[in-house]
Amino acid sequence: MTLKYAILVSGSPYSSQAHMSAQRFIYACYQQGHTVNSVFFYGDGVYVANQLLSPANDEFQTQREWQQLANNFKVPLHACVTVANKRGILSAEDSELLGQNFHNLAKSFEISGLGSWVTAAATADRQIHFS
Amino acid sequence: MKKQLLIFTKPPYGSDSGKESLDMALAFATFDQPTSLLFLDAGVFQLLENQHPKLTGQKEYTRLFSGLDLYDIDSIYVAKADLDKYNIAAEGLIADPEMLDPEAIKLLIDGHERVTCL
Repeated sequence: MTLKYAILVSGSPYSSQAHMSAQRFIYACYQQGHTVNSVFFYGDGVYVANQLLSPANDEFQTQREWQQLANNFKVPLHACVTVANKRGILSAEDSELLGQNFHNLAKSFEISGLGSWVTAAATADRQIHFS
Repeated sequence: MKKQLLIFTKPPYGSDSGKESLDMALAFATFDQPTSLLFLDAGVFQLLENQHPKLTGQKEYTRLFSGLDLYDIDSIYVAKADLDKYNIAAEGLIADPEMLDPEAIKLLIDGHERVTCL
C-alpha cells in the first residue's frame, strides 16, 4: 500500500534536527513508493525560507536541500504567512503590501495561509510533524 | 474527515506554541475538520482566568479559548491529574473543559486519527 504524507516542520533550521530529519524521511518515503503532498513550515521552521541564510561552506545546506527535494519530487514548500512575515521573511507581494523595500523569500518556497496546511493534512493518509 | 487533536503541554506566553496551536485549531475548524483540544502537564496553565500578559509585553490570546464554540470546537479536555499537581481549581478555568483521568486520555488520543503537539 502506498501512502500520501503531509509534512509539518516547526523546528528551527540550524538549532534543531527537524529539517534534516524531515528531509531524510521524505527521501525514504519516495524510495518506498510513498508520496508527500506538501511540506508546511510553521513556527521557527519558516526561517529556512530566508534566501539570505548563509551557512559556512562545510555546514549542511538545509535550504538548498529543500530546494533540490522540491525540484526532484515536485513537492510544494509552504511557509506560514503570519509566522513568516513576523520573522522577517517576505515574498515580493508581501513586501509590497507591507510597504517594505526588500523581499527575501528563497526560490522554491511559497508563502501560504494555514488553510494550505489544513488542505494538505485533510487530503493526506498520514501527517507527520518534525519539531 | 480526519479527526484532529491538538495537545497543549506548555504554559502560555513563555513560548509561542500555545498561540500557534490555537491558530492551527481555528484553521482546522474553519475548514470544517472536527477538532479537539487537550491540555496536559503545564499546558493546563493555558486555561487560567485573569492572566495579564500585557504586563510582560505580550498580546493576550488565552481569552480566545472561551469562545471556541463559535468555531464549532466543542471538545476541550484537561488532565485532572495535572490540575491537581499544580493545585489549580477546575472552577477557575476558561472554556469549561472536560476533566479526564489517564485512562480517558489514552482513549481520547486513540480515538483521533491525527494528533499534533507543537
